[in-house]
Amino acid sequence: MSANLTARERLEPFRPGKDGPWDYAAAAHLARRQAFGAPRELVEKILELGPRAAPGALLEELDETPEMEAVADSQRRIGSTEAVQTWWTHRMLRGNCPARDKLALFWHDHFATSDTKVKDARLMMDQVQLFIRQGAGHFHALLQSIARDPAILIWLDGNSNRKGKPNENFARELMELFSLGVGNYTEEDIKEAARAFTGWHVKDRKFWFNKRAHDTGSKTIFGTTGNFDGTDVLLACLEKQACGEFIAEKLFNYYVGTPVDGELRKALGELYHANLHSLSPLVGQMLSSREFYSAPARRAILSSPADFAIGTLRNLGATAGAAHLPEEMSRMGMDLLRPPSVKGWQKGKSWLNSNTLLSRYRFASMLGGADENSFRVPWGKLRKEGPNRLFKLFFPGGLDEKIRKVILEEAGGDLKLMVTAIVELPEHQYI
Amino acid sequence: MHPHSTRRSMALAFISFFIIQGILKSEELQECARLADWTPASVIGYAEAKMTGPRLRSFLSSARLKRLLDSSLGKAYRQGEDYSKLIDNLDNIEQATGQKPLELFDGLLGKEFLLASRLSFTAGQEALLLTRIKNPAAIARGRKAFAAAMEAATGSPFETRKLDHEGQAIEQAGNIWFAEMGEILALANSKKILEEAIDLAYGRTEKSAGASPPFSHLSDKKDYLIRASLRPTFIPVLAGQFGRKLDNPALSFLLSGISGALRDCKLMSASLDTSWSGISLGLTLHSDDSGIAEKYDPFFPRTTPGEFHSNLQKRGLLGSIRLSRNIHGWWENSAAFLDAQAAGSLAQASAALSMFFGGLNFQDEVLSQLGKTISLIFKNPPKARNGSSPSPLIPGGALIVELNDAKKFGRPFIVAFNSLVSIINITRMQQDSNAPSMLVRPEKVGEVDCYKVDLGLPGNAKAPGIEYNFSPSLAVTRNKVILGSTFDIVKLLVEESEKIRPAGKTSVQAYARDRLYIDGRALNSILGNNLNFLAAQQVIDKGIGLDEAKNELSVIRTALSYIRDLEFESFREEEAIHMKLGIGLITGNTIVEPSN
Repeated sequence: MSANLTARERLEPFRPGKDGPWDYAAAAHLARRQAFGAPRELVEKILELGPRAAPGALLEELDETPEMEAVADSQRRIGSTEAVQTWWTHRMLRGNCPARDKLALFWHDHFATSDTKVKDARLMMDQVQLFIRQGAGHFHALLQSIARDPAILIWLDGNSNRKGKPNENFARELMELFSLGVGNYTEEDIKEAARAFTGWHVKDRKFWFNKRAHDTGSKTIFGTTGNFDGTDVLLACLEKQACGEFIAEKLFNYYVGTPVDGELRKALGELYHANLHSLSPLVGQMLSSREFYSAPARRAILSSPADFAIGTLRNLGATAGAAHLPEEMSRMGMDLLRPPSVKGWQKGKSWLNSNTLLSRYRFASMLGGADENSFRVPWGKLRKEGPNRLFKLFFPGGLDEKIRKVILEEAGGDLKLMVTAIVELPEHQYI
Repeated sequence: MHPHSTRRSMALAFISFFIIQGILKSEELQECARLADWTPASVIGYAEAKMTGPRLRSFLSSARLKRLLDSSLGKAYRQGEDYSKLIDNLDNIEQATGQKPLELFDGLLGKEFLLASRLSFTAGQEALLLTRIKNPAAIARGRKAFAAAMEAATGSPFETRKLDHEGQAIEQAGNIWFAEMGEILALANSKKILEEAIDLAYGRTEKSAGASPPFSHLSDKKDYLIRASLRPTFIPVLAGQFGRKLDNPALSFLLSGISGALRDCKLMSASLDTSWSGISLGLTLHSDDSGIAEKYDPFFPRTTPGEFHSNLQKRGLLGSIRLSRNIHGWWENSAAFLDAQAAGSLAQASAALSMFFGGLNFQDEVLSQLGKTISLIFKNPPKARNGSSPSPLIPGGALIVELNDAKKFGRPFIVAFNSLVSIINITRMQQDSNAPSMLVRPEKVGEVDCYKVDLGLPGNAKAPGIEYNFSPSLAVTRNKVILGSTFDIVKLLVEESEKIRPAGKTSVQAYARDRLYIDGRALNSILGNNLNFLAAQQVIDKGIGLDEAKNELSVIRTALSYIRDLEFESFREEEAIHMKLGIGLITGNTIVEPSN
């Protein structure tokens, strides 16, 4: 279908019945992409809301539950990287708004900041909470906030950026990775932007505008000269057409996963601006588009370790074990709060190599083999529901009958063995 | 009559008189002052109990038990699986026997009983049960109950085979032999051991456990509910384990002495006693004639008893551990207690620790100056004045090491402390150039110089984290080095230490006691202070709701509210080692549930 449509048509809303059925499989497809996994209750909620309303509804901000508040407080008080990782994986697993955490994970990769250099897990927690709070709001506000985030300033050597000795790290990443992308700025723009950001420092773990270190001289950025400061540079980046296209394309790749050509890129940029830089409606339109529900988009994205591990547990109805997840995910190639570089994680096929694949198999074996059930999977309930329900849980769109038969025969009625086999399937590695 | 034949007749009559006396005597049942007197000396060990029946009746009918069962803890217990199983089992016994279990128990075992065991080459493990029956009717009820149970189990009438052993009737039912001898009922799984008990009962032999030298070490005191004694060397599997070299220096420091005492132990006895005010469990190791080997002397040093620890307890501790060792002696002779690799690791540690002590030889110049007692003290922190305590709230802890002459040899410890802080600072700076440095600030407590580490944390934090629990500090008093996690605890210890006058040269020394103490109320208090934190951890680990997590913790706190304290002591008395565990209970007239 997608091949015959224009870019704009591909981004138009999905029409149930005309563009395809609106059924359990379609709703599960949205659940997997926008949240983690496709647990039954979430899929049924999406089914009821419908393809247009569901994405926005899932992104609605909800009040924190007492459990989440208590967990956040206790892990912040411990203050170690492991504690903050546990907090976040617990949110992803048990939170009442997993779509927000999925989007926050996107921003964590986009504005990649690593605790290996920041060495302050509480600042990292503040940053993640910023992504959760503002990640679905206006990109302008988000960028302004992140530019003043202490963790990112430490990561990008903000305190070294002083009048007369500008440090270009932040300015470069702002243009190359955070807002415009390669080819939409010059080296001169970066140098001048670095001068504008002088004095944007961190003091006592808070943002501090150090007037003494700030270069108040005239700067020329994107062909315009003026006495610019950091805020002016941010606004200048946000106003460029390239910014909308850059951000929208990244979000499209994250959520939809089909190839983006020049025409689609332009259309995405227009969509971004049409939504007045508001991210929730932008994401909502992507996730309710004909492109999203097209066949090429189904099971098109190789799951990240977060999608794989947490999605699997949510499918099974697991309720505990967040403390084990960061280590498991790290083995699979995603060390939360410690992306490998300013460019974030290498996604897509890079998630799978011989080591990380073995780690996924190990996770599958651990899930199905452990007597102690540290993830608190409701095995009794799953046994009552039977193997057919289990297959539908993981493959609502259906699974090759031969594969299904082999799994049933090999497992011999042992549900845990079935789960291990299902989780190891190549089909399950894609969302 | 010929004089020769008269003498012969008189001799015959004389001999006959004694033979008849002997025969008459051997037919009389001896008095059984102690059941051990009717237990063969060849047993490996035995357990005995007195007055369990009346004590159990008293316990079950007490008002305190009723209050306990009506409390939230009791209700939680009564809803649990264990309670249901207990009730089911008691019902099953009643159904099978036709009698109430308590009546059966009290009648047959409640007054006094002894259970002995030995290993036999031919018969395997032999067991003998001697019980002093409450009254003759109890035996009849017991027989009736047993018969009913066997008939219910087998479906056929219960019959016994009647036998005899030198005039004493014995009955056999399957693999059980039993005999009634006055108020004593004897049961055994081996005819041989029963016959030996019968011989003892009739005075035909005097080789009883009660009279045998190994069991003579047992105390005559009746301060127990149940007592057991065992000769460990008769159990091949156990005998080879004791006195072995260990592969862990810390374990050796703690346990090699006990292990050695077990190796040389000819009798091990344990006793248990319970009351509403507490539970006490005691274990004694009686060594053989050669005594405890001299090489274990470093584990049982003699010291002058003092009031330091008892005074500390009055200041409200959470807990304390006190270990008395001749540390230098142990370290020097470590090859006798540790395998080669572990002994080698001590040598390596000695070299590394010398660096911290300004180049002094750790083994010969530092350890030799240490006294014989090491203590660990834990105390709950005071509540923050501005209401924002750190979370989690961690009790302060301190290590106290005694020094022979702190004025002369305290300085190396101060040097070591400062060195350690410097090394940590350098390491942190290398990892993060912006990391705040820890500063060592001198403080005075009375006349004693203390050194407090300032971690450089911002003051007045709204939500102080775990790091706010710590202000590591060091103090060197007249005869102690005190290293604490907080300045408050070091200050308290310095104050108490300075109150103690040095022991005079004529002070009597005694074998030192190792001790572990935990205050139940302090433990409950710290749990209460950390309730929200702990509940959050439960939410993560178990995936339960916050309220459910808090309820689970509240049940634990309710259980703890009944515990006043826990105390464990281990000490040497001549050639015996005693270990005592006591749990003090609070089960007053009113049971107060803990509030949060």
